[in-house]
Amino acid sequence: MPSYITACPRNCYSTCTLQVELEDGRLRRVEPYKGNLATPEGACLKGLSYVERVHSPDRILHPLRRQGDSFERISWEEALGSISEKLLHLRANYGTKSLLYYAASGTKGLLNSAGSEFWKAYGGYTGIYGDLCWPSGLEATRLTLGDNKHNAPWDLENARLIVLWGKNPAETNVHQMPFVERALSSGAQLVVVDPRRTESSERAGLLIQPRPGTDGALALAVAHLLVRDGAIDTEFVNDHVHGYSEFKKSVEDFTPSQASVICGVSVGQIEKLAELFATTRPASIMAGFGMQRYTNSGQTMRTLIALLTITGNIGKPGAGWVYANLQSHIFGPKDPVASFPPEVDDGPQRISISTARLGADMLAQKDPPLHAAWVERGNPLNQNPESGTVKKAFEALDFVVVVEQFLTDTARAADIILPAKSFLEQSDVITAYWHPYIQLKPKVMDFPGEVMPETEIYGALARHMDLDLKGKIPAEGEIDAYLEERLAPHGLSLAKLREGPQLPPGHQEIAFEDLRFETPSGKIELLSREAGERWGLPELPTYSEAHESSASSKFPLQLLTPNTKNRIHSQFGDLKMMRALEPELLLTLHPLDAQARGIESGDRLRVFNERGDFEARAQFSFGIRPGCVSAPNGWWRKAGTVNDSSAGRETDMGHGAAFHDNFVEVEVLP
Amino acid sequence: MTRPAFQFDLNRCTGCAACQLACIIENGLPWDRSWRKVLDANPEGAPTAPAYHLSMACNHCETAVCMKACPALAYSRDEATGAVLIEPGKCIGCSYCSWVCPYDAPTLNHGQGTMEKCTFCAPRLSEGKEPTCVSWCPTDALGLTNTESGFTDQQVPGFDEAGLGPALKLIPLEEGRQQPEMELDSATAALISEMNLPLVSATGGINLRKEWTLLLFTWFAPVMVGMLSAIPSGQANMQPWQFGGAGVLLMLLAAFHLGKKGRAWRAILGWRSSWLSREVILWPAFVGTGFIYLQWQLAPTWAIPALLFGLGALHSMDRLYTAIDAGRGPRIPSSSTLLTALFYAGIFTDNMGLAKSVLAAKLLLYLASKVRAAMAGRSFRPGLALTRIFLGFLIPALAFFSQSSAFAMILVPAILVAEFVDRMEFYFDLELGSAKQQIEQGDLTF
Repeated sequence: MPSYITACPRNCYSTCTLQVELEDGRLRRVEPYKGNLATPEGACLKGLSYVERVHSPDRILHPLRRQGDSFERISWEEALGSISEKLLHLRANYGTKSLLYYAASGTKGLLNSAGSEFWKAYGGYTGIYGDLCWPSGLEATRLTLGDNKHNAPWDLENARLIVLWGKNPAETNVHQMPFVERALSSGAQLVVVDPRRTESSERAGLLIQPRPGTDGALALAVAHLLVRDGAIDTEFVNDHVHGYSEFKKSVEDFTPSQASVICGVSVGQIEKLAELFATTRPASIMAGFGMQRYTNSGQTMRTLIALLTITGNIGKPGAGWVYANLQSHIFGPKDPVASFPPEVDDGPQRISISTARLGADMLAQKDPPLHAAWVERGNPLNQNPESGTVKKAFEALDFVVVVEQFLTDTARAADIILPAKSFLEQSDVITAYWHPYIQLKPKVMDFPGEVMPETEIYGALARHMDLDLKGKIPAEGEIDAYLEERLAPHGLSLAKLREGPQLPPGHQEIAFEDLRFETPSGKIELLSREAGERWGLPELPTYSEAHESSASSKFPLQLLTPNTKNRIHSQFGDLKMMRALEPELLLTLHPLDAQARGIESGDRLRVFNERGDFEARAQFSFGIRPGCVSAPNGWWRKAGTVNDSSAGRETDMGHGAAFHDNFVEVEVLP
Repeated sequence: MTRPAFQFDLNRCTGCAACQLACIIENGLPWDRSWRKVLDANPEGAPTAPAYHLSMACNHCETAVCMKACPALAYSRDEATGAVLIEPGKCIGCSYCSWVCPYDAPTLNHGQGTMEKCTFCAPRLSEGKEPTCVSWCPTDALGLTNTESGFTDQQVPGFDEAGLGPALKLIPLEEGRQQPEMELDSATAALISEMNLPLVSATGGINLRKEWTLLLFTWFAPVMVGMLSAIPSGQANMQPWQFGGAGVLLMLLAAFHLGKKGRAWRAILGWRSSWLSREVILWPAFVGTGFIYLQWQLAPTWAIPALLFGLGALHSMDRLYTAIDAGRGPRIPSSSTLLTALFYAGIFTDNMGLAKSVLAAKLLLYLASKVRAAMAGRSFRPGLALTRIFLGFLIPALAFFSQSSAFAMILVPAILVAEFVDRMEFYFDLELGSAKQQIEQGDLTF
């Protein structure tokens, strides 16, 4: 049976190396590949389920055109003909900026740049800035440490104190769990800070469940105790930290009893956490992405990094800020500033829509207003906040093209759907953001049906429209050469990648071990002038209440919308394998909150606020903090889209989306 | 000789269910029916108990009760790997193996009508590879080790320590890593003490709705044996075709639940070890010899072989069900078919000494089962219990001691209803006895 080494290109921490086995041209098995030290045990359940996903009968294999409420199959000739006619019409009558080019993170790879090359050749487009995922944490890290990188995943074994702060790797990064387990087996302590008791917290020694969005207050109170008790690494602070005395002064006023009121946790728990930081080194904080999806979250992330900074837990084995490891991002700008809106107008492109406010910003575009959209690798009608407004904005367009594998919520809003490749059907080079490897994802299978990759779609469309792509998008036969050209400057080659995952040049297994920080001061910046200049925020890490909070909202329950092990965002959820594990959308709530509303376990519920509503089934849990309810994101609209209730708001820095500033009420459906 | 065994580390499992999918993918099973299942202990996260998972499939036990119980000799053991295997071509789909297995490993393939279960990925093992569930576990919680005769004395709540020598080594939660220290407010604490929380979520076991034909069989078979015992003395009368017809009808009813009815004959093959096989042989022998005795109106001594076959069939029937409680020790239920037949024999032959003493024994056994239920915190089903006691004990007692003809008139119908209720409750309790049902009821102590 032929077998190939490849990589999973999903937007996921683990970015596993997989050994795929084919049988009669079909994917038969996804076996582990031991050569990736971060994922030696093999794929998670989603990786295994490619066996179903790649060959799913629901996969779109031909171009489709809207016909009322359904879609009819059309030929490529018809599809390309009507798209090019429409695009030429748009350009002639409204200008190229009347088209929104929306590409998201559905699949990774260098060939993803084909889209912007095409739209530049077309004459321009309207684009988006910001990111749904992680930018407030990236920016907080950049401001403080100068770079987004962390120790290699396997170094976690050396940690003596591990704090999973707002992270639930058991569901989102399962390959991190064996390293946590190994550290625990050799005597490390595990603390979890999360409003939910999660799979990742079960083996922890301490679980702290603060009110969501108040982690910054918790961290400042811990800093207060560390400063008060002299548990500071003075030498490290003197040599490598900028702004410690200002920080020290500011936390002297931030007492644990104050934080206890804000966070809703006891002073005793705050003292316990401080005691652990004071006595246990090396310490690592593994910070999750959900925690930085609040309107105050960039500042929150800065307070967390500050705890590691003042205790000297940076640049050492077993220590550090484990947030995003962009050491493999050598092929383009890895600086998060790259996804900010351009400070000067860059000509034909108009990067004017915040992805956090996608719906409202689309509707607000003038000169010209938007008339059309092209979506690839994304499902904005499901995944962006305030998805009801996003839907409205898409419905207001004259023409929508969506490149997709499945009939997602966004594909259903298209006028023309073009079939998308699966990860086994085209070669590409994949980077990661947890482990440092650069990997080859080779073509091991032919395109099924009439599927064409984006590179071929754009090439064919360019021929139809007489656009000159100047060789910037490779034809299928030129892909290896295209990839070689991009690998060569870094001393890499396809031949080398075929041997297995490769470390990037200059890889630091222990990030910042040289204690060089690319900040304006060259030190770790607790005091950041840029935080003030760029974001209008205090130069010190501070705590302020999130925009939408229990004090300001007329709705009483805070809605968390975490990711689950069964999906990556809205991908995989439609598979029969996953449906068998998670047959419907569940809203997890505390029995006390249920009792107050006459809700029984298993009741059908309506979850609502002023922005929208969705339905879910009640599931009781004593593990969730009372006053919070939780529903996983990513269910398609027919089942219930949690983002109908979330607000289109940006985070305090980085142009992220503040999904979790979201309060709702819940009632039993009649 | 050592053979491979599963190893499961409770500290490492996060309940992701990759092992379930691995099994489905490797064996081409329907998406929702894996031979391996992940059980969730404390799914509602009660802060008073740890939450963990058990990944369970066939444990290829040293004492393979499934193989012993199989009436059709469909089970075998792979010599090289020690794997316990089902040959689909021999299985009659009676589901008996799934009843006796404390791990609910064999499941009925409804499409095929035969039983199936984990094969230990025997072909992969013989190629030197791990089973897919082991190989594809992303946290290394499921592993492979070796054993000579299976593992014993493994005390993990939710895991049935049935003394069968399962080829599964459990690594229990480490000291100090049972559950995180967390804050518990007084309102939640009060609520928890009020609620009867299920600590493990799972489904499975014997389902009376599927097996109602067996209830009818085991309820009426003692009546027939009891009646036949009263024929020689002339105290009861029965037409041969009534007797034969009822006996055959009960046999057909019992075969009705088979997944492969056309292979029902195979059920006699396991007579050396399977009580089900013995029942399947002895019952037709009882019906046949009884019919001959009645049809040709033979001398009373000719009833003796028929009665012996009948008692043997009922004894097999009783033993067949005690095997379901494998490893928990024999326990005579008040609805034991053998006892019940003796009771009917006393009634029909007017042997009041026999009837009264069996009735007293049945009453004690019945009350004992109620006490056990109450002590385990299960419902003792007051409605059914009252019906059973009123019709099955009170009315007979009144009939025996008051000599009133009114009681004698309703005695037999009352007993029939009462015995039906008792037998029904017996099946309910069997459902409780299955491993997964037991843990679903929160029958765990930490």
